[in-house]
Parts: sequence; C-alpha cells; structure tokens
Amino acid sequence: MQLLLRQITYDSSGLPEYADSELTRDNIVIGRSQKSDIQLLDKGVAAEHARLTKSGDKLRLVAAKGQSFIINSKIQKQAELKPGDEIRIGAQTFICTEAPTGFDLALEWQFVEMPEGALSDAYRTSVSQLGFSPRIASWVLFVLVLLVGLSPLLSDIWQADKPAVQAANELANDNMAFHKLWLSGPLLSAHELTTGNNCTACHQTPFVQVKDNACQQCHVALGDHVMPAEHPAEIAEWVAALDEFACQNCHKEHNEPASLVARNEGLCLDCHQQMKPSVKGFSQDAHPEFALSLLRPDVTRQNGLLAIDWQLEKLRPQASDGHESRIAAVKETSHLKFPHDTHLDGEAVKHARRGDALQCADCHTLSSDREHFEPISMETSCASCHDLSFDPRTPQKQLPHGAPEEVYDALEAHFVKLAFSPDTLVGFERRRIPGRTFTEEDCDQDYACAKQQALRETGRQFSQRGCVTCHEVSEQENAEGSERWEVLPVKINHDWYADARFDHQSHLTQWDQSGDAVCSSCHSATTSAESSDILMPNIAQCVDCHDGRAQAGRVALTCISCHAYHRHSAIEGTEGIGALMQGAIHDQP
Amino acid sequence: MKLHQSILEYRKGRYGWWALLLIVGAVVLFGSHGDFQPPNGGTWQGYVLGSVGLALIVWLTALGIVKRRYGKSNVQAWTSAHVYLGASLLIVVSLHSALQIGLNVHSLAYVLMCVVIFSGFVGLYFYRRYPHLMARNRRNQSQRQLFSELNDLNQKGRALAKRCHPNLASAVDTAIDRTAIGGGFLDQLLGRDGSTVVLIEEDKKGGIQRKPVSNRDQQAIIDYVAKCIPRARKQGEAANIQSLLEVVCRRQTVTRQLRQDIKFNARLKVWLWVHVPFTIALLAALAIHILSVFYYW
Repeated sequence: MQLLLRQITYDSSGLPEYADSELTRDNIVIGRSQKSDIQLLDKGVAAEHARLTKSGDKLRLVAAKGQSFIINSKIQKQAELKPGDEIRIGAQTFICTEAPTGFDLALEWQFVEMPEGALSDAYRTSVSQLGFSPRIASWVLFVLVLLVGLSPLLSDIWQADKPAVQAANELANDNMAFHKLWLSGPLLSAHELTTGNNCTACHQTPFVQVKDNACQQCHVALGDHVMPAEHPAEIAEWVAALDEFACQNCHKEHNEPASLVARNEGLCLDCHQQMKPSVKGFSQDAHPEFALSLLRPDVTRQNGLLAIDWQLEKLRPQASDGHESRIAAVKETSHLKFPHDTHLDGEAVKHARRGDALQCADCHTLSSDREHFEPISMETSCASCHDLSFDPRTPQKQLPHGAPEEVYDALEAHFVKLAFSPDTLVGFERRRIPGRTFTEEDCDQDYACAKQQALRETGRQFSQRGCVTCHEVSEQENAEGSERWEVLPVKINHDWYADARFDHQSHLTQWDQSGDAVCSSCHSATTSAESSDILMPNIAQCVDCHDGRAQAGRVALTCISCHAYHRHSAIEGTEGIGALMQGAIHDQP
Repeated sequence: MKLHQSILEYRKGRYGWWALLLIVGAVVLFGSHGDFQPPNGGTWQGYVLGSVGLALIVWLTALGIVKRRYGKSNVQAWTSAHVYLGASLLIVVSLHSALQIGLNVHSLAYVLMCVVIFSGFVGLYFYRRYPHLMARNRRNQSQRQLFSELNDLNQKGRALAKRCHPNLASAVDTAIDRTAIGGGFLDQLLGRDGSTVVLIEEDKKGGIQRKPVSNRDQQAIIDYVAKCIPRARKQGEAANIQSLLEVVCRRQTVTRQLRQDIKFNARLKVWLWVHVPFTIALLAALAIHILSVFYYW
C-alpha cells in the first residue's frame, strides 16, 4: 500500500512547514520503536502500537494487543479509515485526507514536539525495562526445585491413591525413578535386588536411623558378637552401648566407593583395649600372645569302663623369650605317638612309593577353607607304611584298626583256625623271611592252647609292638583276659587358634623358599620328637611381616583381617562355606 | 581516608583471612577422615562441614536483607565478608560432598550453589571494573544529561536538514528516527547498535532509490552528509551542511556514550538476575537435601 505522510510543524514565527514522505509497505507499523515505519517518541505509545493494513479497497487501523487509539474522539481497538477521520495516538494527531492519485491513503501529521525526557523514555535504556522480574524468576525456580525435590514423596502420595491390586513390587519400581533423586550413593547390588528398590524396606520410620531389626529381616543367622551370658558383669555396660542401631556402627550403606564393612581397628579397640588381656593394635607389644585352643582329655572310669571327656581349654602361653617359635611350656595330649623329626628324616623314613623323604603334604592336605587341614586318618596317612599284620606266616592278615575290643577276637579266630586246619600254613617254612624267627609253638588241634596263643599275642600287640607303637594303652592289672588293655582314643587338634582366621594358601607363596621349607618357617616339625610338642607359631612369627599400621616393610593387618565379628552358627555341613565367605567379604579392598 | 575503597581491601582484607582460616580448618577436618569410611557427607566430619556450609549459606543470603536496611548496618563490611566467605563456601561444600556427584537432589543443591558463587564472581569482576569505566565514559555527565543533549542535537539536526536538499533532509530525519539506543537484552548487554538510515540516491537512469542501510555507530549518515558538502550548489548550503556534519558527528559521540553507559549498567544488574533467583532455588534445594537425608536416615 502507498501512503503519503505529511508532517506539519510550525516554525518560530508560527508558519507551518510541511515535510512529505512516501511509504510503500504492506503493513505500516506505528510505534515507539525505531523499527516502526512511523516512530512516535512518546511514553504512552507502545514499541509497536498499531498497524495500517489494506484488504481490498478497505484501509484498516488495528491496535496491537492491549493498546488502543482514539478515532473521532472514540477509543477504538480497530477502525476502518475514511477521509476526514482524526486519529490520536499518544500526543500526536493524524488526519486522513483525500489520497492523491497513486496513493491509497494520505495522512496529515500534526506534529507535537516531544516533552523533555521523552527521548530517553522512547528507548529501553535499562534491563529493568525488559519485563524480566528476578522476583518471579526466583519463585518459579523455587517452586520448580521443590517439585522436583519432593517428587519422591509426592509420587508416593499419588501412588497411595492407586488401586490396592497393584503389586507392591511394581509400585516400588514405578516410584524408583523419583526415589533415585534422593539416593545419596549407590546401594550394594545384592541389597538393591532384595529390597526391590524400596527405600522403606530398610528405612522403616521417617527421620529414624535404620535399626538392626531391618537388617535382621534377612540376616537371620548372624551370630552375636558379645554373649551377655558369658561375661555378665564385666561388659554389661558395653553391651548396653551396642544399642538397636548396632549394625550401623560397622556397616554403612549408600557409601561411595562402596564399603559395607568398616575396617578400622578403632571400632574393635574401643572395647578391647579395656578388656583383659588388653588389645591396642597388632604388634608384639600391642597384641596379646595368641590363645591356644587345646583339647584336654578328662579320663575317668565308670563301672570299670574307660570314659573320656574332651574339654576345650583356652590357654594363653607366655613364650619364654618372646621369639621362640615353639611354645615350649605347653604340651598337647592327643593320645597319639608321633615323632615328626623321625618321619621327616629322609634316612629314617622313606615314602612307600616314591622311596624318598616324606613331605609335609604327604599327610597334611589343606581343606577348602584354606585355613584348616583335612583330618588325618590311619588309612590315608599311615597305612601305606604301617600295616597291622601280626603273624609273619600270614602277612596278609591284618588286625582291625579303630576297634581294639575286636583285636582279641581276631587273634583268637586266627590261632584257633591255625590249630585246627594247619593247611593254611602250607609252604610257610619255605617262604620264611630270612633273619626273622617265629618261635610260636604249634597247637595241634588244641583249642585251649590256641586261646593262650591269642591272649599272648594280644598282650604283645598292646604292650610291646603293634598298637602300642602309636597309641597310648591303658592297662588294668587286675582285669581278666583281653579286657586288661584299652587303647586311649585319639583326638588330634583341628583348630589351634579357634578365634582367628589364617589363610594358608596365600602364605604358601614365599619369595625365598618353597615346599616344606615354607611350612617349616612357621612349624618347626623337623626338630619335634614328641607328638605332645605344639608346633604352632606365635605372634612373633606374624609380626616379622605384619603390623597393625601400614608402614614400609610391613603388611597391614586390621582386627578383621584375622578375627570375625559375627559368631557364625553355620548350618550343618556348610561350616567351610561360611568360613570361605567370611574370608571373601573381609578380604575386599 | 580513601574516598573509594574496594570491598576486597576492606580493613586490609580482614575477611579474606577469616575465609582462609575457614578453608584450612575444613581441609584439616576433611583430612581427619580415618579408614573407617571413605570421606562422605555422612561421617561426623561430613556433618560438621555440612552444618558450616548451611550456616554460611543462610548467613550469606542475609546480605540481601541487610543491604536494604540503609544506615542500620555496615554494608561494606557485610559485602566484604559476603565475597570472601562465599568463595570459601566452594571449598567447604566440595569437601562436605567429597565430590560425589550424581543425578540427585544432593548434587542439585551443589550445582545450584556453584552457579550462585560463580555468578557472584562475575558480579565481583563487574563491580571491580565498571564503575571506573562508567565514570570515564560519561565524563561527569549523567545519563539524563546525555539524553538531553541528544534531544537538542536531534532538533538541531532536523532544523538544519530542512534547509538542505530534500534527499539529505529525509536521510537525516530517518537517521534520527531510526537511531537505536539500548533495546533488547542482548542489545543492552553487548552494546549492540541496530540503527538504520534510509538513504535516497539517484541511480544512473535518474530514478530514485530508497535504501534502508545499517547506520551502525552513525557512520553511514556521517559519510552521507560529508559526501553532500562538495555537491552543494546554493550559496550558504555548504556551510549549512558543514554545521549539520558537526551535529551528526556529535550525535555519534553521544550515542556511543549512551550505549556504553547502558551496557555497563546492564552488566551490573544482569549477574544479579542469576545470583538472586538461583540463591532462592538453592535454599529450596538445600531444604530438600537436608529433609531427604534425614527422612531416610
């Protein structure tokens, strides 16, 4: 559209001055902004106040949103223009006149000089004029943060209205997206799995720390550390201090990097340095001598029968000079005669098959818990060299092992059979072993003679050779016949340091020695002549390499490196697994 | 006594030493984390650091109230301490969090706090730099006086232009009409100049070309007016145009000053648009951080 704009001003003498300009636009914008086609520097005029448009032959003036103008003394939002109309926008007046040829519209602008200050008002000279309100922005952000931050609680409230048929698991997982916003750190993955991402599985009451009973929902078979019944008066106060939040003392969840088990010794030493013996750490001086768990047989006779009650005795020996690896003063009673020195002497004893010296591992097999050894039995460890034959004429005949009361019966059966069917011994004279004599008389068809022979041989087995070689035998002077002798049952200590864990496997690898030398570095078996010798190392051995504090040349040990806090009452048959698991958890870095 | 003293040098930077002491204390406390637990907001050291951080944030926020109680408190001391202790908060809270960042409300509070502190650094930089530049730029005049001068120049320019060739008169008119000062957010903040001018030029065929062109820094109109001087034919016209040239050149200086002044003023205000709303958001996030930690204790 073509617009002729005539600006009328008056000079100092009051004569009008005309300035014509032509505008060719589809839309002619009137406003305060310098981008407008007709700029009105007036506070009462918006940046874009109104626009002139042409549709067909009609010319319209349309006010912008929220604005208006006065046309022929009437306030209007929009109007169709015709010659003679008077338009007022702010302080300025425009009069529509008959458009000359070639123009769609002619406007006479009765120009009014701007008042002082209008110029600066025409511009946006401060950021405060941009319509941005820090106050509103603050509130918006405030509410936004509250909504996001409280979304876990809000989602719970919303979910609570949902029908109850929805499974609890589903609910927990639905909400988890929100609840993760409150997570202060990752959850142990096993806990994440079992709690189904449900915070309230452990955090049962808002604003109350997680209590032990939340842990014990799953951890049912955990042994308690302190048994009030065992030390009632001494530790009552400390037991009371282990309140219902005891688990949290050592176990912290949501902790990055994940460390569910607290490892610092201070937790243990708080109590144990006040106890007797006092523990202040791990070194020769700070830690008491290891307490041996000894098996003590309590041998009694009831109605003439031998009764043995094995008592577990805890004994804390004082090493004579602190560095002696043999705990000299204490003796073990296992009722087995076994000289380690002889068996490890290659000149004296050779392996039945290999023909060379015996090695520790020939008898001692490490069990799967990596600490203890498989029980030693006659059949697996001794029988390859020590058979139980008793009559050189019948070397294949063996006495029953482990059943001393059957020994006489076996011997009697043997000698009676010999007396009544001497054919058994055909060829014996020819196969006689050189250098050995057998001076038993021949009881030809004589039952009493054979019985005598059996009794004599029984006596020899129990008091001169055979059983008595390895076993303690009790002899009753006044008893008759075979009831005179009884073999004291053997019980070999399986767990010398019952209150501590030790990983043999990792200690078997040493940089400067291998094989039996490794074993001998702690267990001085090569010089032990008696089975009553205790071959366990004491703390002096450990502190050669270990210390309670990390320092150069020492491997750090904390309390839980060797000791378990929880007393596991393992399910029968899973003891080894329990021990393994304890090791696995506590060995985590 | 110095008339002007920077808030950083207030009492020889007394609060700077306080802040340093606070940072050293926080680092020592953080270092006392044993091997019981990795450093964390939930250890006793973490609780202490967090409480100190909370107290600092609440106290720092109070500056907004204090500075509005004119004359009742020493705002300079408050601001000096606000800057130093606010900066130290960055260390205290980072140690409290042990830099464990995740997608959660705890890190949200941390991030908001960082936005607040760094926007504060920006504001501090502006306040250290711009007051001098502004005084120099305005040359002892106020913005109001500059606008008044511009208004005079505009009227003078239009009056002189009317006595010249209509093309020149129209060009000067549009240059004055289409002078941009201030404007939108970025225009004010960056001092951008969107001024235009409609120049009327005769092409080779004798036709008339109306070209709206950029009049950045009023350079286009100055060039146009200058080019008209040698073309002047009527007596006295050259002198008239010469006067007009002086006016448009003076307009260039004044509009430059105004634009710079608006730019500095905008920058001095705009950092607070981040600092204040994010502080309020931080208070909300902090409340939720504390609530969530103890709700699921």
